[in-house]
Amino acid sequence: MDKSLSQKFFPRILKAIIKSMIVLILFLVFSQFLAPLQEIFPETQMIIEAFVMVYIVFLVAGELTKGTIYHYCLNIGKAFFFIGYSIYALNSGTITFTIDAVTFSIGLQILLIMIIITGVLDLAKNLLQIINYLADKAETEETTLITLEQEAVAKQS
Amino acid sequence: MRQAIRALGWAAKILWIILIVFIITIAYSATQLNINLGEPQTTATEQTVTISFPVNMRNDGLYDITYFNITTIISDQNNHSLARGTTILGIPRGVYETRIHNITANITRILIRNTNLLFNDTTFTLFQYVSINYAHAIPLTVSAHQTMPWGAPLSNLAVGEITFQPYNQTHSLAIIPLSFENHNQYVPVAGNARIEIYDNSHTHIGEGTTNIDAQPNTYFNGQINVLVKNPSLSPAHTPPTGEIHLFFETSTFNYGPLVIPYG
Repeated sequence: MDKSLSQKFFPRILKAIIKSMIVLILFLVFSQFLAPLQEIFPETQMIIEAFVMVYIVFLVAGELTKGTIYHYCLNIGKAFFFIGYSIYALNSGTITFTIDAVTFSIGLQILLIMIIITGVLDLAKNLLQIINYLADKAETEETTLITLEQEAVAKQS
Repeated sequence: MRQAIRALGWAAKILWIILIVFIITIAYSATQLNINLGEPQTTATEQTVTISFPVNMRNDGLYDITYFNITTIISDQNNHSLARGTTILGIPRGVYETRIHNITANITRILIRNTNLLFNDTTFTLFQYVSINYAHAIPLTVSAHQTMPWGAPLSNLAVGEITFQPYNQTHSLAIIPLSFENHNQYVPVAGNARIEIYDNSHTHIGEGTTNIDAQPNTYFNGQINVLVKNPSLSPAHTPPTGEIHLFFETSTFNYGPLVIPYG
């Protein structure tokens, strides 16, 4: 039992570690490009770090729960987090900052709408996946029951 | 069900690709955009001052600037708008364009509405606002406040002590020293200064005019001679009391009366 469990989970853990490492490396590379923005948006680093941390948590949990209903539930949670995070990070679509007494205001509402639509599509996909998973499971159980009943009938006759 | 899930997955992926491509191209295009304001130039007529900024724009990016609005508002310390200039244009991609952005201030009108500006130096606020709509999708606004000095054209206006000299049997000559500094950079004070003298019973007893000419950042120091009817003088020829009404009639502004008591 333990052996089969470790055989089942070891590749998933390995996969989760590799994926997390890739995300971390991408974050480190990406943060180099964002270094000049630190002066204008001091909170950028914190916002991105928080996102990367939560993303890795979802990634690891998603890998470990693959093939279960929790995987899809986590994906729904991830989609909600992503939508909420985007709204927060983009300040509801309007970013304002000041450099040398000059105030800049950038309207990113259209980008935010695109991001939200993507998140909603992901959400819808995962909801359908949950329904599909439950339907498949019910179907499998029904098939198993029918098979067992047929076997029992066959044995009786 | 599976097909719907697959379709949603593909739709999300395609949207992501579009989004990423859009963000990358926008970021690239933004680096290819060059907008700069040249040195401001000021031209003054007798009644107006026009500040002109050359605006140079080069759009080598991948997207059009569908709306470019540069607005400049000059306001006083109470935030009342004194002058406003707006330039609106669109800059398609691959286009280099230079426009002159003008702000014309009608000094005559400003001085009529704010007579304290004739006598007091102050600072105006220059509010510049640039609004851009880039790629039909991203509105950007840039705003900046600057201050600009305002020099009073009749700064330190002073009417000196009146001296009376006998002129003839019926009249005396009142000599009224007048001085002021034109601190303004643009507005010349050229025209006439007129004085009306009233005695203490508010009876008009004399009137005189002199030419004044104080170019920007210069001063005027002169006198106005007024013939005054003798009966108004006291028998002992001591200076009477009363008030003088001072009027300025220049090519830029008319002002008066400025009531100054004497005696």
